[in-house]
Amino acid sequence: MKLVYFRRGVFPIAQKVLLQEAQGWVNETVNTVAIPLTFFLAFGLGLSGYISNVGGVPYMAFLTPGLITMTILLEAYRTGAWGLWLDRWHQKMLDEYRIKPVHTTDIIMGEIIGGFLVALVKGTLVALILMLVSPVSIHWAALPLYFALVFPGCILFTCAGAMVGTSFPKPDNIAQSQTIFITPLLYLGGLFFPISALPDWIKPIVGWLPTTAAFEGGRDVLLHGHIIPQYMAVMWFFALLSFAAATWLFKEKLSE
Amino acid sequence: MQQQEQSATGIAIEARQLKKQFKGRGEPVQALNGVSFSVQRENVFAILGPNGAGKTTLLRILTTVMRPSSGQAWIEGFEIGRQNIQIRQLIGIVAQDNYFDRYLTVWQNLALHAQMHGMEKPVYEPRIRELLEKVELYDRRNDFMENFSGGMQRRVALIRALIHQPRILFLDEPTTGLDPSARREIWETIQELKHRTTVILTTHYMEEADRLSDRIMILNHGEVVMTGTAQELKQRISPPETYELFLSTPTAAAYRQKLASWIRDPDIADQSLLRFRLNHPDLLATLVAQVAPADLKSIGLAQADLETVYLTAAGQGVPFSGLLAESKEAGV
Repeated sequence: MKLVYFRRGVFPIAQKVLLQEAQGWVNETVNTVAIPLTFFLAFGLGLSGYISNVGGVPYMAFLTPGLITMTILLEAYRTGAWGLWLDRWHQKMLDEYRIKPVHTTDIIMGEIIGGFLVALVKGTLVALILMLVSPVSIHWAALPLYFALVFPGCILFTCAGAMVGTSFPKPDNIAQSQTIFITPLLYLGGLFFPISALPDWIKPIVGWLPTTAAFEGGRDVLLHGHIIPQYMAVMWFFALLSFAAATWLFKEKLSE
Repeated sequence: MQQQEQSATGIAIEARQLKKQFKGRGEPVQALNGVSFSVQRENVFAILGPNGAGKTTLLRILTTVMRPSSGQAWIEGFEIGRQNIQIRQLIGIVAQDNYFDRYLTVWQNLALHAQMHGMEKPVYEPRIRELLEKVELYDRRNDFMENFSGGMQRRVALIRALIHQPRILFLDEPTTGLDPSARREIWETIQELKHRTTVILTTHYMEEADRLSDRIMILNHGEVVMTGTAQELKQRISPPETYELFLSTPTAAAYRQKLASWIRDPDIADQSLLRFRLNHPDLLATLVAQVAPADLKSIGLAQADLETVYLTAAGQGVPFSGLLAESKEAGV
């Protein structure tokens, strides 16, 4: 195998994701900002009167890192799911990609990098808005550590989205998958409350959820500047697992 | 080894005993059943056959999209299934349907293709510009594909297949659904390409195959029925010693009666054309002498057209010879 073919497709696919996203960016941005801002107003303003602080930080500050992380992960999922759904079922671009001299993994990697960049831009936007209204104090020096945590999160959520988008021909299925799998993961992962508040019997399970690693780990990094290594390990484990699964599924679907 | 062999013999494509079986819920379908052929470099090779004959399956195998159930094929010496990435670098494809990213402009769609073929910006930009200018679409490079007509989309699809200057171009019914002028533009492009690119063409238009191709292969029920040049195929099914008398006036009926004593039931193809078989060519001068010089336009050997060849090969037509009259033994 000539080295020249190696990873040739990654950049064009990532660029395509960004160009697609640039179309209708105003609507997309409004949609992206609306959800975390609504959560912040509903939970932050609504519950902060009852919950003064969590683990030594004000509830609104506790909530903010989770909402930024949620935005990034949901954007990664949305980009992967809708991007691949469009490419496979609507525009049939996958039929074009499979006659190009690129590897299947290039397409998945391009989607992941494109999804990560889109998610990062939107997450930054949400972070800037929330920091204006939230009493949060961010450990800026720990940002590289935060990216090292959310990048595998983006791999996981883009790959999960890609698997759904590649497998199901109806757009309704994408919304269903979000309701059935993603929403419970978000709520159980300590987005709105610390997982220490959960009943003892569920804690061992929740502790190994990738969303727990993302929300609890992200909160630790942004608010306190450090992370429990277990969270980083969990994120990378699920990222690699989902990448392998998405690549396998993608190859299967392309050979149909 | 195969690469060296093919290179030496000037063969661009070689297929040996290709078989493809589709297993569904019902009976398995044998789409290809031992197809073997070879294509010389820089030739236009047309694949004809009725719907379901296996043309698209064959093209999908040759373009590495699908694996054969058995058999082998090589593209410029690279084996399908084993060296797909190398093969994809050498081929360009215009599929039956035009698939583009509707969220990208024409230019962005073409640039995406070029980048996936490993072309650098300084190389692909002038190339795309040149090709778009050639088909007068450069001014519309920033339009989205959904604003283009079917003919324009097909032209962009052809450009996309040519950006990386493929050695082999696969065209799957490239002119289906196009108006005559758009069709002619595509034909001109294929004719221009002919001397530097091997073109594999599937079509339902016999005129297209006749006009463009160097060799033709007719498939039916997943098997090769005939292969050869258009001329060879026509001759193969044309009956021997069959003549056509072209008259300058619509007097075929009158001459049919007049010649009745020499030939049995000559066929009137139209009012100015009599077609008949002579078992003894010496009789031709006698027959011609019966026709007034003013009425005689020309006389020639009859030949089946490609459509008749196709219908006969596909088992859908009346054999050409069945239409013909023969000279009477008694008249000789």
